[in-house]
Amino acid sequence: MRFSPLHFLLLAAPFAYANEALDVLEGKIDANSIILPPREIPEGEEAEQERVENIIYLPPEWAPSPLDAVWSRSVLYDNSANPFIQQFAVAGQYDFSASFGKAETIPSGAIPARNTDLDGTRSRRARLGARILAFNNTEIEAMGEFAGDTQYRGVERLKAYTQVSETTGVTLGKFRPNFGTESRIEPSLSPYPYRGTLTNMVAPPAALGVSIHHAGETLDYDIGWFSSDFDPDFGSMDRDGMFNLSVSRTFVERTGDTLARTKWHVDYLHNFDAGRSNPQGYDLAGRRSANGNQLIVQNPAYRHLFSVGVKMDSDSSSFSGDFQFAKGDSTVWGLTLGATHWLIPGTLNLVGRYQYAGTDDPRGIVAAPGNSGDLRYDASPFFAGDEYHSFYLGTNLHLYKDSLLIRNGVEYMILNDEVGNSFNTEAFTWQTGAQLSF
Amino acid sequence: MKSILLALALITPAFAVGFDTEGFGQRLNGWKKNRTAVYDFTDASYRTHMPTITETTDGGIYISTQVDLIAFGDAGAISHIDMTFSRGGTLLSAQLRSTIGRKTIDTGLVRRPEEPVPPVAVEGQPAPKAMPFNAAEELIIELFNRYDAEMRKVSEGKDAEKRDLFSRLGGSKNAKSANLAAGLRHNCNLMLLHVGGGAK
Repeated sequence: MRFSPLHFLLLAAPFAYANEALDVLEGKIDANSIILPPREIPEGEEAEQERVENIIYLPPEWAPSPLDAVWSRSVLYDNSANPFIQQFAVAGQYDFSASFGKAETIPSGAIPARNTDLDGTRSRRARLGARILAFNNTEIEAMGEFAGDTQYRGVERLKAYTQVSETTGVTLGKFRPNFGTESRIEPSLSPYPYRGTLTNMVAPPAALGVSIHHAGETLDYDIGWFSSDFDPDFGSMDRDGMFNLSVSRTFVERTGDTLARTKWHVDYLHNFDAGRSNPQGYDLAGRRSANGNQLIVQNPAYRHLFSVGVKMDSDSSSFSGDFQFAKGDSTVWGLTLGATHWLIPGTLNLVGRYQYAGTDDPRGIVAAPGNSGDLRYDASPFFAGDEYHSFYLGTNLHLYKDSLLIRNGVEYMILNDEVGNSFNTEAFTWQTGAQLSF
Repeated sequence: MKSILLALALITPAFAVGFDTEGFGQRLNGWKKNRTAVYDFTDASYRTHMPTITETTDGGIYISTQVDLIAFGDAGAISHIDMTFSRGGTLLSAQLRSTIGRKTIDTGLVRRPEEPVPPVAVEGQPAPKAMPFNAAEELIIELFNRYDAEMRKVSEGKDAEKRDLFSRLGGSKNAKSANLAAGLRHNCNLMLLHVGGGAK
């Protein structure tokens, strides 16, 4: 029997391992053939230490699709070696929607019944702009809105986000302040035809401002200042403006086989110019509501806006929740809950949303059901009340990824007027629409 | 000094093993101007790139071939077949790597297996038949066993890929429905056929 190094090793096992090291250095035995003893665990240390896993959630990818070659043409220039501009792409969105239904105002006492027709079609959004990646650290977005009337059409956004350091970035220009779960979602990626009623009523749209973003160990912070002067193009920055503070936390959880990413946020917006400015942008003062012919004396003005919400995403479904509270001339509050689920992954998405809004002020809630949704776009007809409920259930058919889709859904709205003259209204509408974005 | 080098050069046999790239390409519909061959194999479209051949230090060759599964003009899955041959044309090792979307499958390097020890004849019993052993064949079988195991691991998770309506109607095969392993095996077999010089 030929003696191999292993035999010597076994014989020499009880002795110190230093001899083995010497033999390896002298080339007598191969380093790989030495079996090391188990690691000596010093006293006090756990026998089995839990390895902290840093899980990253990656959303499911889109599979290749026949129209990829057409959509990739939106990137006009792509060269990461260029020190000035790395990428230039055109971006746009066209959203056409139609609604069919009516709102019924239930008679109460001397108040007669009133029906409001909610049929209509409109180009809800027609946007064209560009996205530029520049100086290896800056992302510039410019978007012009061409739909709607003069109060709506204009510069939808013009902003530049510069990554100053690994954890800090600055955004400058005209953009939406961080308020609410829905304001953080790009409109072309929203599963619903329009943002919630309370968001449309209290959240300011894009305004000139600056915001600093800092990603901490566990929490992310955003601090910003915005102009309170609404203008379809660029407002003035004369007045005191609005202060915006936002704290958010993102974490990834594993339940069995599936991963889910959850993002919590807390937003606060303080309007120093409440009462002498109109950052929301819509103008209802002097107009009458369609349900009870109630007169809106002045546009709602809020000084404090507070929102806490959550967004959970997993492979096949998502959930969003948002509680909002606004205090100024009147006090309004509300809760929005939304959920989506892929019936056919990538093709058919089932979406649902429940909204609640309440106020202690009669006519404190203004809603525009049906086609409009956004008071700034087209507030006719609009309804006023103090307790609002809405249920939306629909399906989105994705023809081409997130860029070409057809929406269909039904919405049931209840708007009660408990504090005032009881102009309780119910509206049932079927909403359909198509969206193209790039 | 010079004469010794010359003598050594003459004694050392010339580069013995070669790869018939033209023949390989012919079997795959012929090489196009951009050095790729596009062909159909079991209802899926593939694109094979002209292999890269490098000489190894012991006189053998290392061949690396990229095979793409085509989906709507773009590469649905990109795979690499690496094979190392000895100077005599014997397959020494092989490796398969595939990237499907975000996931990667790697079989690791599979080496040529040792010939098994023939069973010992026992007195009084009929002589046991020696099983025919083809080392290259065993290597390829082991390679694809590992590939299928890795593919199963990757597909075991929920089907998290999203396919829009046009993609579903378009009928192009993705890496799961097309028999990607069969396409790669087809390429492996053709590569083995076109390695020249010496027994396998």
